Amino acid sequence: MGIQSFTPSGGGGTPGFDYIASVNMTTYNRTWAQAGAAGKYVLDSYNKNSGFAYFVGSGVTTGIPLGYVADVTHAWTSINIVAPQNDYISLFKAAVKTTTVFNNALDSFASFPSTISSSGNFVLPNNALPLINVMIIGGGGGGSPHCGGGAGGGIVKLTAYQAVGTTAVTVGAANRTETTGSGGGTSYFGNVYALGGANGSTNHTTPTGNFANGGGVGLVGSVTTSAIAGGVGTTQTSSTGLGIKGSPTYNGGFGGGAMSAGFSLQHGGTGGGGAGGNGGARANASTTTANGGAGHISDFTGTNLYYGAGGRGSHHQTPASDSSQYSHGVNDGGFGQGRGGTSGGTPSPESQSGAVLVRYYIP
Amino acid sequence: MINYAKIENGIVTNVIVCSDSQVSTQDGYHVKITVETNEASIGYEYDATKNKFKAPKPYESWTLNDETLLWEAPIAKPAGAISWDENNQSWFVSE
Repeated sequence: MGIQSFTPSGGGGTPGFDYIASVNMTTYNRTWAQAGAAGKYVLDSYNKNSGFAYFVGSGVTTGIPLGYVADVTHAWTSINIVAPQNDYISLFKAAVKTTTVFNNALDSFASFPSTISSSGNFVLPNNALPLINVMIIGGGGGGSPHCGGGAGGGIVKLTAYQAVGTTAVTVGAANRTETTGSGGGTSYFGNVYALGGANGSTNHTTPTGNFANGGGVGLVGSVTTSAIAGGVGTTQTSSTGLGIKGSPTYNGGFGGGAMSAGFSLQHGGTGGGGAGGNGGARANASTTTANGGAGHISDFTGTNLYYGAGGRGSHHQTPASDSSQYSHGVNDGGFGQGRGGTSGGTPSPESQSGAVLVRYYIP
Repeated sequence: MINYAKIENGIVTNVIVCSDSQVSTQDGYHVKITVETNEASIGYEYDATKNKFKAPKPYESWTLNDETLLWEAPIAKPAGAISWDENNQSWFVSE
């Protein structure tokens, strides 16, 4: 019996797979004298057994497990099959049709944003889809007295995240203290978290700790002899944020502003890092405050708001007025803004606590 | 707005916003932060006997008030002064 030849069909007409032929595995290892052109093929076990096969061409062979689509890039003249004895193995040619991107189906449903600003539970409505979008915002860092601005909280966003009926939510608090090293609280949605922002620093120290954003450097009562770097931010990743499900994106990790060397101090600190940019640096004794880092802008709630902006550094006689030059300070409705540096015993506006925003969909 | 500190092995590991009625939904042991407890931040120690938080030592020369668990400078803070100079052991007022 000579080699049987098969010519695959064209692209149209037959949905799914074109059936070609079958063989009986009278032994566990069979060579099938079947030829074909390059294309996508499937070998399937009638008894749904596991097995393996090789499409053998001239000087080239492609191997695949049974039941999988193989992209055979060469012509072939036989198939070697390893499968349980007495099984039947069928060969199909995949008819690959043209497709287009399926736009976000959630867009066609009514959606509802839920802002959670206090810890507790998020309960998904019974009639809502089990896929939600989530934005987790860490608490803002505190500002140092007379100096560096606090960093904004970090942000973790989850898209089409698989929701359960009830999810524990923790809202990280704003930092109210004025100590170096500690910062805003960590916010959680289930086990996915967003780190808080670092506190602004004082006395030539840079912020330490594991925070999503660095705080600005603060300086008090001495003279710089060398430049001082701002606090270094920690950019969250899937390993630091447990954001491995859904489609996490991370916003934050920007450092605080740096201080140049060589000018008399007591003139204030630099800006805290924001979720969207570094804090402003300072290179002179200007009374103009150093800007905090930009926040992350999002229309998650239906309105563009800034989240996690860094606090301004203060001048020694002028406390920082808000979070940054972008006018998205503590009163624009966002969350997680860092506190500006304080000055002369006059406090700046407080930093903001974090939040968890959830948008769910009802068909 | 009520803040609670999460305590693990006597150390504050998070500070959260939470109502009294919802704190039971949170994992772990939480202590309400009040004027009596002192402020709390991540890394602070918690004394359960006194129900007070203790900040890290700010300067080497400062000593702890065992009753209030607040750190005190060698020289009482004068009105208007805002910063401590550890090198000169004195408070200074900004220019």
